[in-house]
Amino acid sequence: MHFINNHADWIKDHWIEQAIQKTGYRIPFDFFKNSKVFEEEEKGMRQSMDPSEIAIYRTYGTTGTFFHLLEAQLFDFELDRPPWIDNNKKFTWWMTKMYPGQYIPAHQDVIKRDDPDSKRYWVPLFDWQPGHVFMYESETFTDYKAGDVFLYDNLRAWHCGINIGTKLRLIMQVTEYGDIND
Amino acid sequence: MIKVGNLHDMMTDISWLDTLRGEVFSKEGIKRPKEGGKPEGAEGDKEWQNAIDAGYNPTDVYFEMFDQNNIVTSIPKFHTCGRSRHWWITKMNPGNFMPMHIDPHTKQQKNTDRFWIPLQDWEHGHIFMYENLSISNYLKGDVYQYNNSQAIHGAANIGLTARAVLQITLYEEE
Repeated sequence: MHFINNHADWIKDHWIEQAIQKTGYRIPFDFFKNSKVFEEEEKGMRQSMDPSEIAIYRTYGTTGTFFHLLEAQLFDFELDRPPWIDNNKKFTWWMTKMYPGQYIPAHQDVIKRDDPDSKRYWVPLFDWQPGHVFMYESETFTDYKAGDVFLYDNLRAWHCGINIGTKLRLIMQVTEYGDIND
Repeated sequence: MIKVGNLHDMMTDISWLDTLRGEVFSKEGIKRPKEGGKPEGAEGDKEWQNAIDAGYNPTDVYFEMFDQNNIVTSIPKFHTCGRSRHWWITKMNPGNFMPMHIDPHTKQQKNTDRFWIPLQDWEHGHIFMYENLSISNYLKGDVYQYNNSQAIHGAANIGLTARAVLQITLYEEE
């Protein structure tokens, strides 16, 4: 993972305000609440999870709230196109919100979109605070500023995050994929 | 935080590390903060209140602690330059963590040296933060020394296996 640029000017205050106010999906509680995820996966009714994700649910259980997932459709605004995204590409985005003590266990992402050129960006919405941890492979990212844009060098890298600080942690994730005309 | 070396290079037999890890993983320690209570002194009070204000629950179990009162494995005597030695082990099961904090006891102790010794090789999700640095890719028995025993630090296990670390403090008696 490496630093691309800072785009703090692109971030709008009302994005942050809404993200703070909204609960979003409590992961994994809400994910499992109304569906039989493992059964549906076995029957081919949903895309397979990565083995690392299955191992997390088996180890940690599925009734707690590790973190809050805030997807685009939850918000009342249309996100301005991220200025670092290729103009010929589509993009999707979401936020992860962690109160003190919340986390995302170590895992590898499933590459959902069949696009070998897809790119994944990690964008903190607050300046770094002590106890805000993001670990990518064996490296930890600290001292970042709100709006810093980092690019995953490897979409299958092991990564995890936790908030063992005293302030809210809010991260935007942006995936660039496919041709805009497709 | 600097790596001083590995116990393997400092003593002929480090099999006690495996014995110690086995003991720690085979039983429950003191559940903290639930069973530990508030740290002593004004600094401890401040740390405790800051954590509660941030949303941490003092009746939850964030990690387990072991020391001479609940460990039977013998920890070898290290050369301490005439100072007193204080050791303890923290065990974190997956999902456990220790919020960022400054140790109150090292503020009260004089001429303190603080060491951090993992009882197993590093794994994904095993996190130790020292100020703005993390330690990873370490090996069992590596010895790290705090540059400043009053540095803010914290730890977490968001991996899939339990994590255990031996901590040793050398200090001068008053």
